[in-house]
Amino acid sequence: MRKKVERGLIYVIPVIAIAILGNQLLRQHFYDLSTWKGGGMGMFAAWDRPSRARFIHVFGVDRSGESLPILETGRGISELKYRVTTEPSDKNIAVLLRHVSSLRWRYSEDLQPLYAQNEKGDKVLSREVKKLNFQGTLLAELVAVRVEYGEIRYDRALNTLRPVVIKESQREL
Amino acid sequence: MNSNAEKTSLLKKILSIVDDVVETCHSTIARWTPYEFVSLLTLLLLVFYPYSHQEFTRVIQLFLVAGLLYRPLLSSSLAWFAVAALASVIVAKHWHPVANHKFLTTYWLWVLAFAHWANDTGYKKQILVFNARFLVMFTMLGACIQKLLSPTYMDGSFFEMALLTESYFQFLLAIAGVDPHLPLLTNQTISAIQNPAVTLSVASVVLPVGALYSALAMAVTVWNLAIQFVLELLGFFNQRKAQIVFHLLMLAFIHSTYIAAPFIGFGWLICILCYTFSAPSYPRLSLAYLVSMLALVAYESPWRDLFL
Repeated sequence: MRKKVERGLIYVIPVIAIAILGNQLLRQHFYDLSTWKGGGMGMFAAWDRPSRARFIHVFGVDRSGESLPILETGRGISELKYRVTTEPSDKNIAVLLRHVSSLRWRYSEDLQPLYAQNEKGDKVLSREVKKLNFQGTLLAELVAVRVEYGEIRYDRALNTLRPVVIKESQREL
Repeated sequence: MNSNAEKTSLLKKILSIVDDVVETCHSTIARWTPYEFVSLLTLLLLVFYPYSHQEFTRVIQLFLVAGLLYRPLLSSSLAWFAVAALASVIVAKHWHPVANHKFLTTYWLWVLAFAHWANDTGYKKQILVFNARFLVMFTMLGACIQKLLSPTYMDGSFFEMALLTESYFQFLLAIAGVDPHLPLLTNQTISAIQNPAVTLSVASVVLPVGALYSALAMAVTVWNLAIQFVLELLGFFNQRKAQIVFHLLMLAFIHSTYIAAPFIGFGWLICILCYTFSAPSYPRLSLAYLVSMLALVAYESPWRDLFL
């Protein structure tokens, strides 16, 4: 009996590895899973690396209909955003929306100066929203949270990079 | 004449020294059972290129120290089952961010657990050698399938972008004489697109990529796919000549790949797998994989900066 089990053990890992490769290929087809992830050995196989070729934007929408970007990366948001860029399924987007909706957001209208570059490459003085410091910030009254998932496409013939929004989803609060 | 004779004598001396070194290595390794030695290499892999889980790494460090002090522990199936189970939980729990080669490492940990559990020496060896070979072939097959199915790989655009966006490739661009501002422009464009606070004033950004650069990217594309495809094919032949060509080509693949892309943990794993299935039939050739593991560590040094 034990000998039979020992003989059988030789093939256990090949069966599991092939099943996981099959799962990855199916997920790539149905959920656009990145080839870099999922166990099917596809690193360096496609321009779909989550951290390079994909993007996820999260916005809070207020009563006036204005969308402001949510730049927070802590409180589990970073992991959920990465999960969406790895596998942008409706389920993963819904989980991210639900999590962001469950948090209370504050905002500041203070601006701080910074140097940026214009299209000619010259340094110019600009301003950006100050890092949030809870003192002096206001509670945001959001009516919805919106997510944009997209890909950064490279056109080899024209040598251009361009963002393409693939999915948009909104959750009312 | 004298000079030629001196050269020949020097060459003979060098070859004799190399032979002595190989013999010494071989006799040192022979003091270990193959199962213990491969287990030791795997533990070194897990310690130096760990899973991103601190507690797990500490367990492995303890296992390594304990195994070195009391060698039979390296062959403990219970310990390897525990390590494989913990690694599986980490991979399953974090499968989105985990790199593909961590799956491969986890498969290998289970193989070691099974091999140590088996009583029959024949099956023990078969579990180890068959699975090591399978995992290498599986990796090559997976890579070929993914690349052949990928339009961005097959048209060369993947490597055009990868060379620009991955910092470890910048030395290649410097050698090829590519404008150093091009990677900067590409990465800044990507960062701007990924930042929701930035609104692009143009629909697309033109990258001043030249024909020479595109040719370089296409050459890398063809080399990478061709060598993996040939390795996969050669892997199906058991004849001695085919296997020797396979191993020589595999060594060329390992060095050409990991000198450019320093995913050394992945490189070490491939070396361990290839060592495992080559050692029984080609004991001397298999030592080249152990030497390669040391070479891969050297590739991690900041030598690329010399070109930047």
